[in-house]
Amino acid sequence: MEAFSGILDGLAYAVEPSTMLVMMIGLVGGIILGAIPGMTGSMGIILLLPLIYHLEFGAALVTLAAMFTGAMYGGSISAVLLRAPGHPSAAATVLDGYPMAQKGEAGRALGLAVIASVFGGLVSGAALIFVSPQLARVALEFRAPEFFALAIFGLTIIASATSKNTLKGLIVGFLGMFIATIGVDDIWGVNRFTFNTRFLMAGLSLLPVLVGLFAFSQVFVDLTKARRGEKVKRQIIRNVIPSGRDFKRILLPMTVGAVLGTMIGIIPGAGGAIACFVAYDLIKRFHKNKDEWGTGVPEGIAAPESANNGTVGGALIPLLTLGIPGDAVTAVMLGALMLIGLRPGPMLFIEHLPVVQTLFAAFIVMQFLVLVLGLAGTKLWPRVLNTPKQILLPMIIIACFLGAYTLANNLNDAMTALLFGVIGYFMRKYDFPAPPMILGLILGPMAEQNLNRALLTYQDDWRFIFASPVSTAFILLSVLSVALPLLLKLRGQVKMAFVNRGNNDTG
Amino acid sequence: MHPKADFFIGLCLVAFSTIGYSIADRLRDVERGLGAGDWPKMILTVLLVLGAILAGHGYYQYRQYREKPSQSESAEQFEHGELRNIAVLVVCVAIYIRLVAVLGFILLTPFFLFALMRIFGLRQWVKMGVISVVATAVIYVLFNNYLLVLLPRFRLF
Repeated sequence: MEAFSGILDGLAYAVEPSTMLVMMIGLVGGIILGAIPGMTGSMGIILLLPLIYHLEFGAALVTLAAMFTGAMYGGSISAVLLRAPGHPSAAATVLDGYPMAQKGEAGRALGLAVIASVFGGLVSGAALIFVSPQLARVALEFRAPEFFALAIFGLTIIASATSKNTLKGLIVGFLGMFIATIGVDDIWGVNRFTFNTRFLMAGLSLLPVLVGLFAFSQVFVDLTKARRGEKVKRQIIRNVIPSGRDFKRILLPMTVGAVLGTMIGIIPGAGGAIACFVAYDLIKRFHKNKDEWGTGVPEGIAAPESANNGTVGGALIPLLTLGIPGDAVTAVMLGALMLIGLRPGPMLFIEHLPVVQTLFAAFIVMQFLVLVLGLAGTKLWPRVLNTPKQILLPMIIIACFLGAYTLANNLNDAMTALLFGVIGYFMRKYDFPAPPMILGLILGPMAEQNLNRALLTYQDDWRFIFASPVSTAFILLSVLSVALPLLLKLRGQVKMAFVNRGNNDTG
Repeated sequence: MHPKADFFIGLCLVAFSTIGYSIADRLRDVERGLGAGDWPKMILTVLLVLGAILAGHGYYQYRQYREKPSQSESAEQFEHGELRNIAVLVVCVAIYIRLVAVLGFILLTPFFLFALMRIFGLRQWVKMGVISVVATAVIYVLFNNYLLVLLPRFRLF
């Protein structure tokens, strides 16, 4: 009952004009960035940083969640109209969304995508409200060994899930952990790797690294495309509101997609890209007319769209309760929240409960706003795709500069962001994922402090890791998250070798 | 797949970890718990092992590709002129960051935006000029008046 009245208080705060305004900024910004291929929710969160510094915790958290939600929906616009998903989470929407648009039904496809996105968001919002407090209660019992194991788990799961190559993900994650050690040591006050420079003594701030790796590097990647001045073909948008027959067809796929998406979102490391294909494949498998799929069936749009939006609320659950991000966007969100002094984790539910309750209420409110914005803006959003990147990208560069500079009014931070932009560009080129570096930077100090505490408590006995079932489980899951992709890859290579040998023998 | 690059990156990581380890080894040690250098040493040891694996894997794959030349390295990494364009952009941004401390945001940013739009391939001079000036003014008012962030000011005299 107390929790319910808390959420009602949160609702009162969420519908205040000032909160609604920042929520709208987040949603509209998210939809625009999500719709433009190459621009991501992570970049959107970084561009919002100068704004959220000046907001209360509740409003800041709501703005970031709105950006995430808007970007997730926005991806479907370019998937339907351009055959180029705004982000990987909308990749499965292309399969039936684009063929439907090609049949002259772009409006119908966009309408179905909005309805399914909102439905997925609502289901995941319910999960967020009911599951998070329970998980936070469990996490409150965690001690140093559990937190150390959790930090290692968070790092390994992101390293293996955000990269095609687990080894490269791990390398980047540990490099992030190493960068976090630069500066004055928190435990003994000793200078580490500072080379007697004042700038390095404070350590490398998270913000310039975030701006560089996620925003500047994207601008560098887009530079060549922008110079080519690629243009988008205009489509006629009409009949946006789905018919009763369409509603009936998409109800079950949408429900299955939403539940699947929420569950997949909760698993740290698994994100919308996995959820959309799992939902698409599952619904297709049990559909009576499988041959129709790929030609523009409503179910093929509803299932992946509700699944990828379902991951939003799902991904927020481990982020808020454990401080472990569910995907790349929540990894950046974690960094952004820490910069404004809000540390996600079980203590968030003790120290800042009203803030969390505001988010719960606002998350539901923002789904209805997506519905309004999505349906009302179906004619407007496609125009966004025509925004020349030659104008957009210079603006993003200025926003990156301001984002890095406003942290401490320090131009060195802007220079650091530029340096990490170049590093991030080459990382993208050579398939090194960026999210594990952010996780390493955030979780490194947490792992070190808790390892020190655990070693002092257990008198330097490393068996502390297996002292509790939770820490043992986290360590085993860490090993599994690294070993499983490697074993699967090895199995594939062995299989391939056998096939090749068979072909040679018959040849 | 980038076997050659992976091999060299792996080797660089091994060298980096070795140097880092030797620096961390000189940091304060303690009898119980973690000393100042212990945590970095653990990380660098893991990095050394991972770097060696990456280099070994890259070398193995490079040799395989050499034996079967048909399976060449995946697509061309950089488009023609891509690196040069990026270098120009990076230098421009770096110069802007250095100069903005002296010339101030409001004076320098219109020229910077104009130059950036040119680098990104736009050639509509009037449009570029108007956007540069209007965008700078909007950002300045927004940050100075609403977000209360003091942007760099003219400090030459």
